[in-house]
Amino acid sequence: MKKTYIKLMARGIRKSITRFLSIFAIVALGVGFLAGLLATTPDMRMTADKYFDDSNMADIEIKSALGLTDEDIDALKNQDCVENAVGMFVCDTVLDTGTGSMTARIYGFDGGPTNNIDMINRFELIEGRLPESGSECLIACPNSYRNSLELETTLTLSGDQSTDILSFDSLTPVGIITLPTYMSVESEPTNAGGGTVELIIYADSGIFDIEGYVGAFVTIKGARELDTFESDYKSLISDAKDELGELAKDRETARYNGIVNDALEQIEKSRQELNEKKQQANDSLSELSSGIDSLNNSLNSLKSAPETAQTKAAAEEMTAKLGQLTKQYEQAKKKLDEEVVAAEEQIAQAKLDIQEISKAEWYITDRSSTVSFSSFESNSEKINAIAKVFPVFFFFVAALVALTTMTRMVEEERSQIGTLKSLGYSNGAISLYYIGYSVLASLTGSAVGIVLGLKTLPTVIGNAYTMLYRLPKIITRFDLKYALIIIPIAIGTTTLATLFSCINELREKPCTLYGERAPKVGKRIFLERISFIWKHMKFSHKVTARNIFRYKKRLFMTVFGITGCTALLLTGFGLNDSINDICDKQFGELYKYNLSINLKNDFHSTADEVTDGFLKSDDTDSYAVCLRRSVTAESGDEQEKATLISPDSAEDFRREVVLRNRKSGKEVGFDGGTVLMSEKLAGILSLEPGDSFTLTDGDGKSAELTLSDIFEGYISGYIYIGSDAYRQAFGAPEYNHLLVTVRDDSEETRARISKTVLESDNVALAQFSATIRESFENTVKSINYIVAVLIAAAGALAVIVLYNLTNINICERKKELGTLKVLGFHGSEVAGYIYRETTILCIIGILAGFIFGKWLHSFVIHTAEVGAVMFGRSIYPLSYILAAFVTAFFAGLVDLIMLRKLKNIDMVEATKAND
Amino acid sequence: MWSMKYIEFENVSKIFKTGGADVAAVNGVSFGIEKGEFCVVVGPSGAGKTTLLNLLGGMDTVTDGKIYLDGEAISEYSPKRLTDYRRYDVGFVFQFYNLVQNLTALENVELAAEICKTPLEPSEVLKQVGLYERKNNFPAQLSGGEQQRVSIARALAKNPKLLLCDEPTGALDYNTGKTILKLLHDTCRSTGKNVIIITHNSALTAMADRVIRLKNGTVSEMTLNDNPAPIEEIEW
Repeated sequence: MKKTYIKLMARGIRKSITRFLSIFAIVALGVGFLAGLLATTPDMRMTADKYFDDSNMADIEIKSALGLTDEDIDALKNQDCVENAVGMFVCDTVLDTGTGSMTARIYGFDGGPTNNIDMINRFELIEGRLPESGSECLIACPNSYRNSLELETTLTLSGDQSTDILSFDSLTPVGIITLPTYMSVESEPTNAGGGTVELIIYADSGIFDIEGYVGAFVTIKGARELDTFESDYKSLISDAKDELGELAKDRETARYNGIVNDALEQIEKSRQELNEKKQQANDSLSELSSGIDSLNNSLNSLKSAPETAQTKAAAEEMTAKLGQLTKQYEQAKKKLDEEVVAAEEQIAQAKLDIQEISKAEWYITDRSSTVSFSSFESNSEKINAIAKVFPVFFFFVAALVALTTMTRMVEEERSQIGTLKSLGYSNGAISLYYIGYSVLASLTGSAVGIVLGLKTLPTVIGNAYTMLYRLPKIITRFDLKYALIIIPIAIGTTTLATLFSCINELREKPCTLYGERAPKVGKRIFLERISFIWKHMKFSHKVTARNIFRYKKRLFMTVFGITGCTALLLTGFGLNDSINDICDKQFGELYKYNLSINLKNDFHSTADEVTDGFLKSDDTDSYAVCLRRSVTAESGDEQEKATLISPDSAEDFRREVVLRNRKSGKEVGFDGGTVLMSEKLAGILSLEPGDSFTLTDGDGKSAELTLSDIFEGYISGYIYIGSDAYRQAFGAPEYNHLLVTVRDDSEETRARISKTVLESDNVALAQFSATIRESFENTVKSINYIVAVLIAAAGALAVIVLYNLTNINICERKKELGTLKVLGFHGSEVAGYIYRETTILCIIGILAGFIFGKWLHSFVIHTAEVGAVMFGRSIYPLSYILAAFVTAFFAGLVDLIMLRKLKNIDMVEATKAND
Repeated sequence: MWSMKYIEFENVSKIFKTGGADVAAVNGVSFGIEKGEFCVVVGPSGAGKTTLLNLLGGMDTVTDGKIYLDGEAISEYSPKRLTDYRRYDVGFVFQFYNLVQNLTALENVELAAEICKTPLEPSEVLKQVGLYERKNNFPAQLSGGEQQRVSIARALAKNPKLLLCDEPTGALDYNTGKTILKLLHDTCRSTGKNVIIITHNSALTAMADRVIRLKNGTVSEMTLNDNPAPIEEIEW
């Protein structure tokens, strides 16, 4: 490379720095998005994996109905695959909180919950302190939107949900923790209480009243080094489970034998005791008997002696005493016989009970059996789907921008190319300049894009997901793999575009390069044929119309850029609408009730003055009595958790809940025999009205039902069944749920009503819709991050593309515009000349953007939805207006910047011949 | 067979195909130029002068016929060979200078000199054309005449076999034009290299060794001057 030539290249870059920056920017945008989005799922998963590793999270959990002994734990520790095993206690139960009740999962640890090095499933203390006694504990509320508990609230075992393994007076939470095993807001299902775990407790094992442990936490050798989401971890665990399964067989038998032997020993002991006591009793009886006999003898000898007053008195005394003793003897004998019979019965029963003991299996589960882990795994996967669509779009635009920019550059420098050619520079040397230019621009753009993208996007998206998962700060990893693959693709794309434009130009002979390329031939356009319109158009409008069709390539690109911008904006604003819909539609329109009460026992058969009084009072406008249970719905291969509600009176229910079909907008009928399902749930199970599905309740009972219709619902899956249909399927309903419309929904009234209602013994929970809605809305704000990112990207896209194109537009038509000025057009008229075209293209682009944006929004919604939650499907008119407005704003901004350039066109310069 | 002159055009035609009618810019042209001659090609607009020069300068290819330079048929050259030809053997001076705007006067000359086998020293050549003081100015800062002189310096620095000039004084005023022509003529005499000038100004034919008149793509006349007049004496 010759020195002066290099100077030429360097200066060329400096002179056209905005052009350089255009390519730089669009490449940075495309590359940043692609790399960032592709890295998001791995980063999120890596963050979770590290969190699990740091907390020493169990790889495997073992539980047994007969529990585990210390020998079992030791046996586990001695297994080849096991790194460490820790005995643990766990139990699900309902606790009284003083103001209501909560379904809790209580873990017990020997020596209280601590974070020492041996502890598996370590916690993080985020508020309060560690417990200092056996009656203190730590709590975690994974779904703090719905359930929360104040520290220092006294917890007691709920009277009617007593279990036989927990025994304590009260438990006081003194610290709040977060756990790696419960990081999702989606609650784990349980058999206790309301069917979902609302509270996790870490307490001292002293509150558990059993021998041995309930189960064990196990960590597997070599698991920590692996990524918990990868297949090598999964096969390691699968092998470990097999190994432990073999061990389990032995230990289960040992345990069974142990228990049976203990029981038999107990029986032996009891029998021995019985025999001893019998012996003792018989001894006393014999004593008594001989006492009676000797007394009898004395009496007889007294009677055979001559009768005196003394002897008569003595004889009477003796007779009386004899009677007493005889009575005593008979009573004692009777008692002895009864007790012996009872004892024998007990022993016989115990022997029968032993036979009832069955061998308990070890339940060996891994991480994927928790909702927290498995939902995180599948949700982090969803982002990959989105990651594939967006960047392709940007790359496409980047290629187009590079193509037009470099084509323009090569054309502008036609005469320089001609000169270089005439001086004898080869085609290779000349194109090297342009290729070098685009390589440099795209290289620097890619580098900056990758660094920014890998750093920011995973963090932004990860933060949005913290709405659902409590994770530590997202780790952004700079993986060279991305750089090595994406950068060459980006550079290759732009270079190809450059090469393409170079080849065309360089093919021409040097002499033709001197002349300006002949301006594009004017042609008649279609519109002209419609003479009616054509005749009435102003001349300047006619010119505009012709010009638009004259430069087809630019027309396409401008429209494409605007469409992309509007589509992105519409998706962003639409997302906002959809998320807000969840609250607005669900709580504003569909749920008419504003208070829901969970009861402990059936409403109709329990005397409850407090609740009755409240329902009859002025505070209550209307209410509906229902049954509410957690169920599992199944159809074909699909299975999904849902909430079942069956109202006592369909009419009352309709007053509290609006039932309508979203797609048709029509009301959905509901009577005693109707079976309804919420839209998203029906979608997951692929059910249409008329199809049948299976419902399994918390007790394990199943019934097959036929779906009558589908209703609009956004928050989790619901199934509404009429009272008759319920009776047929599951038997007599227990009505444990009230939906109440309270007349005055102000904060003070809510507080007062809560206090009143919770005084009832039958009320487990009273929740105002307003409270749920508030906390939900607060956390939804993090979605705004994603929306902001979309808007920023859209803006950047619009500005870059429009700037580029308008620039090219003006440069190419400098002569034309200069001539206009010479002819006496005012500056504004000259500007109008260009802007009229841009505006029309803008409008076309915005309209196309509405269509594309609606599709894109729908795609993102469907992909990003979590489980049975349904995001609103509609985009409101305001969003369309905003999207159009913001696009127009960006377009206008570019126009303003270009105005200066237009003003600076020197009409004399422009009309001179070449150079 | 007659001996070939240094430059030989043998029945050369150049036909431009433009959608509709074919245009024969150069139509069966034959002539020869001796080494070291100062040749002027005249003719009205559209006569084919520029096309002729482009053909000779390796910037376009013939449709028909052959062109020889120093015995070699340059019309047979491959595009690659033509590039080398332009690099080492030809110096071109354009009507509108065609200097690179982003380089200074000196750099413009260096740009050409760097790729040649035996170039002249760029600053020396600039001195020769009298522009050494302006060597660090950009073309935009130079007047038309000064730019043309840089253009000539650039062509000279390459040390080519021939110097081709397309209307070198077309954009210059009378006096400046004369200075330029003198420079070209002096170079021709001092270096003994061929200089071929295209012009539509008939008065300039007086200073030429050989005059070729073109009309409608053919040579209408070719004359030799035994006593070319010095440029100072020519008036127009």
